[in-house]
Amino acid sequence: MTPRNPFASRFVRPGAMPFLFPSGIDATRLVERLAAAGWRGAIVGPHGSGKSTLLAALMPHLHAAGRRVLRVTLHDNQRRLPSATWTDPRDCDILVIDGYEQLGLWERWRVLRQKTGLLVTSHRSVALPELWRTAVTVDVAMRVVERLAEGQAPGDLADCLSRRRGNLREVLFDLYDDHERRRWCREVNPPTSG
Amino acid sequence: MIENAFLIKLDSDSGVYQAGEMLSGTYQMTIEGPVDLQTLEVSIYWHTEGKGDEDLGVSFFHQEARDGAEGVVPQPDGVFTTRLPTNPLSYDGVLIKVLWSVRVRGVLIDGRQAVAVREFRLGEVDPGREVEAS
Repeated sequence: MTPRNPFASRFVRPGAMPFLFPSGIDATRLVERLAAAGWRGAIVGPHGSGKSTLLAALMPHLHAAGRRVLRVTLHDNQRRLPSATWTDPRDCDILVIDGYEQLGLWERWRVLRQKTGLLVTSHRSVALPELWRTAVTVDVAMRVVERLAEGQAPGDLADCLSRRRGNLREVLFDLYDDHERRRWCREVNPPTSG
Repeated sequence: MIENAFLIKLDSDSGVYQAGEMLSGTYQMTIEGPVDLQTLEVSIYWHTEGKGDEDLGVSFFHQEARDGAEGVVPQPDGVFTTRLPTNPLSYDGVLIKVLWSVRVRGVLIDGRQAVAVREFRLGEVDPGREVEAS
């Protein structure tokens, strides 16, 4: 059996890891807030702060609220939505765009004109009501890492998070590398008993 | 989901197979008491694990369904055999790992899923390790 790295993509990608809500708020309440805003809102926060993870946590609740969701994830400065998005927007009640800030101005204007609901993630505030602002505290980072590594969080996690300017995704990448290095050291110098 | 719901045995004690070799095995449900299966699937597949995007490919898939055209009743134990492909070979690298597995998944009449996964190696590629830049 190949030893598992607890910080591999399959364990840390949005959806594989739960979004850790602060007390007093949960996915149901956020969806209620989105409904109150006419099903239009933005999740805003810096890189690696949990926007996509929060989006993944909201998806089942949007479905449960009877919304037909069309979800688009944008990568690598993708300035336009895939053409299939526009084929029949009536098939969806809410268009969910992860990485909205990558769209060009014209495309954003086109999206905003749609009569469907709209939920986006963005690094900056956009012309939509702010549904939630994500930020990673040391406490949240600790809880995430402990959950992944079965309680084994490194002692310098606060420093790691500071070095990575609050980008938890980068911290998890660093921990992936540390885990591989430690495994390699153990294989080269196996612990001796007695 | 019920994990480790089947005991999967492979015909290689070491769990290592060569590219293009035949792989055979058996599975037996470990849940006690009578169990009625709606469907049963056996998959042999590889997937990648690591720091970046993930990939997956299915080499063998067999399904028995109670409502299927054959009218079979899926059984909680059985055998499987297939010729393995020549690639991708198992690999334990730093940035990426290629893992091969047999998965047996049963869907019970009450809707619960029963699953078990048994890993094996295809080929004997040495593990990759990080090297210092000189």
